[in-house]
Amino acid sequence: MSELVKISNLSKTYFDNNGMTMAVKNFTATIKKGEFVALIGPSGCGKSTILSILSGLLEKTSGEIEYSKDIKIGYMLQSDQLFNWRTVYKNAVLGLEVQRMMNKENISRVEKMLMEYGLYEFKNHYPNQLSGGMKQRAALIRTLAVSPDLLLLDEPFSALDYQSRIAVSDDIFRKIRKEEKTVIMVSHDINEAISASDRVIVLTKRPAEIKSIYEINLNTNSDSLIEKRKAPEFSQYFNMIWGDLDIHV
Amino acid sequence: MFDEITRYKYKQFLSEEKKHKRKIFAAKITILILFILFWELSARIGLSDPFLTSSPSAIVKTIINLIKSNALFIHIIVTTAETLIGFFVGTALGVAIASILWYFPTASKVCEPYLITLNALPKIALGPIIIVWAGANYSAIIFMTLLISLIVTIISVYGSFTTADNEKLTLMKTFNATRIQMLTKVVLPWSVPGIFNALKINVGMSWVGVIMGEFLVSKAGLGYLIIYGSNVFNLSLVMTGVLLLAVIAALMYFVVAFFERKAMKNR
Ligand SMILES: Nc1ncnc2c1ncn2[C@@H]1O[C@H](COP(=O)(O)OP(=O)(O)OP(=O)(O)O)[C@@H](O)[C@H]1O
Ligand SMILES: [Mg+2]
Repeated sequence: MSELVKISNLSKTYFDNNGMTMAVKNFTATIKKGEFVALIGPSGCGKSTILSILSGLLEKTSGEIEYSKDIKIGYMLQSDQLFNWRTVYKNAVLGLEVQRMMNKENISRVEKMLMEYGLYEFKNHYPNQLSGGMKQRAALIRTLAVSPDLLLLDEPFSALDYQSRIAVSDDIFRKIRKEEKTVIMVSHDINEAISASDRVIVLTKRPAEIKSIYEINLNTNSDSLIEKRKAPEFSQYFNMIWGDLDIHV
Repeated sequence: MFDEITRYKYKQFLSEEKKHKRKIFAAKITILILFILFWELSARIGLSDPFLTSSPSAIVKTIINLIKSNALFIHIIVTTAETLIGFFVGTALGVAIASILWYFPTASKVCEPYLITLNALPKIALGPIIIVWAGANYSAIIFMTLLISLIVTIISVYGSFTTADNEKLTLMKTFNATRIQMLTKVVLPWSVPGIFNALKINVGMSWVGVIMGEFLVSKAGLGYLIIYGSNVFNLSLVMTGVLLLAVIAALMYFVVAFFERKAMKNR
């Protein structure tokens, strides 16, 4: 598989009038095409910062990021950020509008996604008429509409309650994997990270440094996240990651 | 889905609501009628001096006379036209300037103290200067109106621009949006409620500007009617002017409120 992004010794220090905050320290990783990588770490450690730098929203302080040429990045922010003055459909095509890509082919792809994600009947509804899970799906379609090569997901389902979170994420990750998208996902849910990804990168407390990396190999034929959780290796991964996160209560 | 009793209770609830609304409406009308009656009676029985307070019947007579001499229509048209021009130009220019300020954040920070000073300044103080510059005619009145509504519009609309959700702007950046796109797709739609607030304020502001302008220079209009009436001690004429003004200004406010409701339907 070809390398899509190569990150070496990435560091980020925030400057403001109150001083400096180091958020990321010597982060190194190589992301191959079609990989699903999870970043997991304590709250406030610098996970969103890493994604923001990868997407180009934030300047890095030091380090190197090498992208394969002409890469297009899709960034799904921590909250859905749907515009309540636009219908679901108009929200879904926002990126296409901005990038002047409103052609027949792209529009029909958006409509197809709306159908696949069960939103087609609601395409003329406004966001405040949708459930939390539907909003997340609409936000994902908006991100996917511009056909990104690399998908950055920032705790995509953290706004949902536990049960709908499992159902929605099971459904959505399966679709993303089927399309062989390359994904870097930030999560603080260990179960979600193990069941969705090929690789889990565990980060330390702020400043985020790599604590450990796990290649996930689950002995199961199912692609359902719920089934994957029943694989015998699952709890071993869970315990190791739990140990690394070093959470005290 | 619901049983008989629940549905019956719901019907009762609906009719109670209706009754309540009717009561409120009746009370509004009653106050108006009582006020007019009291005004008329107190003038007739000598409780007040009709020379100073006029009376509803005198006002009606004045209006009829004005209609007969074809003057009423002209006064209303002149004032309303001046107001509408000031209102629309002030709002459009205000939103445009606020957009430019938003587009250049550094420039807007530099301009801030000047805007605040202009806003705090009582614009009537500039009246004499405006008359010298624009001449003692309609353009002075409209200029006055613009000055009063423009600064408030810029400040209030720019204020609502700056409250636009930063995260939504970040989202636009993830799509590599230009600043113009952020303005048209996030900041302006986000500020629709704020713009309507400015519109509502401007209804009042442009009337203030026009009437002040007419007090200073005009030969026609409701403001002229009021100032002329007071000069010749015809208080009925003054009251008529004020009354017509109140009615037309309220109408204009309701039109704006109607469009606001329409625009906010899905928010
Ligand atoms: N613009 C900024 N200026 C200064 N410090 C910042 C800024 N943005 C974030 N930080 C700090 O950097 C650290 C990392 O923030 P970041 O948002 O990356 O954390 P996170 O791991 O995504 O947290 P969470 O799990 O809560 O989403 C935090 O301590 C935060 O206070
Ligand atoms: Mg975060």
